[in-house]
Amino acid sequence: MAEHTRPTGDGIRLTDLEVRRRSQRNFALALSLAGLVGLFYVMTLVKLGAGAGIPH
Amino acid sequence: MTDVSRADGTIHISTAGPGDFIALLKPRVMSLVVFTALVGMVVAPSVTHPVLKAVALLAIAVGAGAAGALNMWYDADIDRLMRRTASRPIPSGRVSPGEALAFGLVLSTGSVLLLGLAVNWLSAGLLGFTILFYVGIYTMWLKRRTPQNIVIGGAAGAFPPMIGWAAMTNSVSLEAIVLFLIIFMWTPPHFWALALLKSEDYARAGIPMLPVVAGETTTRTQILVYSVVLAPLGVVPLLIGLGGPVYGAVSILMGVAFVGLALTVKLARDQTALRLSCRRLFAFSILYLFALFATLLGERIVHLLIGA
Repeated sequence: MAEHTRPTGDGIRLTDLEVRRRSQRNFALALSLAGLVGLFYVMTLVKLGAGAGIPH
Repeated sequence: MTDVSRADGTIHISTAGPGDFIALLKPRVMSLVVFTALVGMVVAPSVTHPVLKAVALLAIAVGAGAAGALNMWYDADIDRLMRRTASRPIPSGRVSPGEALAFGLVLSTGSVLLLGLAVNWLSAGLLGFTILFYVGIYTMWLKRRTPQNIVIGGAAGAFPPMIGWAAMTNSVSLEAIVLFLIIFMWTPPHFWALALLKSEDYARAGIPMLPVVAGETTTRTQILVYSVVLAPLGVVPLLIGLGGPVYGAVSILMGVAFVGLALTVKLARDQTALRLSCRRLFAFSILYLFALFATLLGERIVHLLIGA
């Protein structure tokens, strides 16, 4: 059981594992968001490129 | 969403890593979805830009994964009871139910929007319907109520090639329906072979799988019936011009072998023979579906290369 429970209050110190996992989650989330930005950028280029050939 | 204060005055601090969230997506199921969707896309007549094709495939994959995450969220209570599923992220405590729910909902919405924006809204609608069907109809409704759960629920797994086809053509034609039907008819014998092996697990979790409710004999008969329907259905792509002669040969040979293995399940005289034949049928069923779709894919690629 990897879930931890402990009393709330000031001065809770995260274990090394909790800190490491949180960093990993944050990194993965940042990577996903950056990937999405890139994806939409490329999609927009492709869509605009396809539209460029259509005469007005 | 990961660190949550509880009513009892304790705090839950997540130790879930990215791998746990990837596990929520059911990568093995997802790989089959990606593969069949890819085949649906490649065999469809289309002039879609390759980048948009790749994005469409990604959206379908993420949508399938999101459905898997929502399934794990809802089924966490019974997953805990079965050996096969007890180590999944939620029952093992690595991911909280709330995290899985949020993850599944965000990815479901995102994948449908992405598919709609990248290619067309017909395929996006089909993807959204598939996710709803898998989570709402199969997971929440049928799975715990009827032994026909995987027969009807199997439709969710059969939609991907149709979504792939629709993504490329903005239509649903006979070819897409045939691909759908092949997976639809393939699902029951595939899952019932597994269910015969794991019936104690399902019984413990209270899931009314056919072997639990109707018994082994009925299940073995049903496996054979579905296999006998599936084998000729597998040849239909040849008849409608979707598959070529290689596909015809592969589908006939594999279909005969499928029925043969289903027959060994039906005729098994003792538990040892039954378990062995079920294991063989389960493994072969995966190979069967892979072989049929891979041959369609291969023929299409060869056709494109020669035609180019």
